[in-house]
Amino acid sequence: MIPFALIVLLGLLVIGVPVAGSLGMLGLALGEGYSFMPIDRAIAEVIWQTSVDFLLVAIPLFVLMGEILVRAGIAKRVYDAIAAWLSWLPGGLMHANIGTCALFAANSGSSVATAATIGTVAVPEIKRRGYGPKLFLGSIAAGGTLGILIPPSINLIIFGLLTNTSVPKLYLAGFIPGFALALLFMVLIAVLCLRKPELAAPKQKITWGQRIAVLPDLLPPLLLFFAVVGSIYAGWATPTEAASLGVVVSLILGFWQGELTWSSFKDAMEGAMKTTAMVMLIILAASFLNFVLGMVGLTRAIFGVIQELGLTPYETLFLLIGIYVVLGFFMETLSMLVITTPIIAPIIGDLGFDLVWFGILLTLLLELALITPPVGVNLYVVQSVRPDGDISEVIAGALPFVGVMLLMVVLLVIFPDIALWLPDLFG
Amino acid sequence: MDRVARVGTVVGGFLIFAAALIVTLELILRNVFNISMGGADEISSYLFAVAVAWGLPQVMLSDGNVRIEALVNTIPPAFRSWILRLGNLVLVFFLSVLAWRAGEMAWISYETASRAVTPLQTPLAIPQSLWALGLAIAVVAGLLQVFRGFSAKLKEDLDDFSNEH
Repeated sequence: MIPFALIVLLGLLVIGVPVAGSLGMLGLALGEGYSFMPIDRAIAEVIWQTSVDFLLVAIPLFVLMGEILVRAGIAKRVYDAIAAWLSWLPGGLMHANIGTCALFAANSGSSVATAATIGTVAVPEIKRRGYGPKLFLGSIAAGGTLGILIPPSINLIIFGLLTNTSVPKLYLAGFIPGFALALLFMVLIAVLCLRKPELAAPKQKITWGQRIAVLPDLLPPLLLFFAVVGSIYAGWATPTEAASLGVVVSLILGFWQGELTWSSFKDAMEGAMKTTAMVMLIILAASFLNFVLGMVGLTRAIFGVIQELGLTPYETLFLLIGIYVVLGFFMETLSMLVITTPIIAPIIGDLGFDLVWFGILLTLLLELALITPPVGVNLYVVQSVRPDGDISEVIAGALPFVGVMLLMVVLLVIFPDIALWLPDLFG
Repeated sequence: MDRVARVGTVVGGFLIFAAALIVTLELILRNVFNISMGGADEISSYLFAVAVAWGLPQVMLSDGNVRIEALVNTIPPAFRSWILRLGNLVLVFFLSVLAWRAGEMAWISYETASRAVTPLQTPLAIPQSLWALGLAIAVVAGLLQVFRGFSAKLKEDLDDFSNEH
């Protein structure tokens, strides 16, 4: 059954069948070949149940919130405010890139949206202030990946759905690793810039008066963060309710503080709908495949093979991490998440690892995939907001951050409490 | 068809926004005024399911589906666009199985007058048939896009052929 499934899946993907179609057809094929009951009869029921899952309603809402924030034009002021506070560090504005990304990650569920938002406001500064482009661009691409680790995160919702793990717990678990990773990024930038001062531009003098004057500009993102994430942990709201509140708050902020207009709001809704329909088609197909895999016992079969290898749980874990790193070169993150989770997560559970912890580890590996070429979505997002220059500069600049992420992966394996301490504390 | 798809996307966007408003209202009423409307989650789930189904035709028409590009690029360029159309056809096939079964499910819900086991007791046939309708339109849109792709490619190849001779 395993070779059959692999051949069908790879075959479909190679001939360019979209991911949603490949997952769905694999589900139908496995059902046809290995199930005692006609699976295609159940398809509508299974997919309908996923379609009306209240948890998933959070996805379009977070996408819509992101679209509104992008169009609201508050990113520029937030960036300048953070720059006033952080740019005295060696590396100057690059710390503002990371800091603003971390703050927007706490407002946004998506890494691509984070990188695009910060990229648009930060990239013009390269020429204006005279930064070496590579590391600067790399810091935006890498900083943007924080979007899926620091809550709210769309990927963690999907992981929660596919593994039956609590999303609020996953969100709590993402906090410390997310901010720790941002801190490590900043340490990396500082160290590199101390050794090679030409990477950064000459510093600008900023007075304490200026720093205090810009503080109000930080209020909108903080307000939104407390509305969305705070309401979940205060016990007032489920993730979906928090996302609804986030849409309403970002809308108010956008109209009141920013440049949101009725027509850009309509664009935001249309954009959000397109993204949502595309993402949901994949999730729906994955949920059907998840159901079929459970019925025919494919994950049990794979687990049997792994047991025959005679590896210890940690050897198996590192083998899987290695596979994820390699997949990350070639696969886009959503596909990676939905294709692998139904198969890998049960194995991880059987090996005795915590699934909340694994959700965070997997998210880190997905972040890595976002900045490893040839298929690294954030590299292209950052490149797309540049007026000129070659993508290879972005790739080279992101490379040091890849190292830091791998370090974080190892740290998370050695000290699982980096992720689990907060959920244990509140759980 | 392009207009239908566009309208579907816009309406879908509004449905999602409506869901956000309903859920937020319920959240505020519940936490601030201690009034429970109940059912906001259920209604917004239906809005969401229908919105996604109605958003799909646009995705099919704009060829916006995610593929594993690294694998696709291994196909020789000469065949690539033909093979990609076939790939789309496979997705359309999967969608049509889903749409067919979804229609069947909605019909059974209607015939048996089945209601959700919730305080609202929503007649399931209503959201399910709207959902199935969106899926069916997506199938038609997908077929149209495959057809358009084939005919454009055919024309291109014929033009190349006549230019060479």
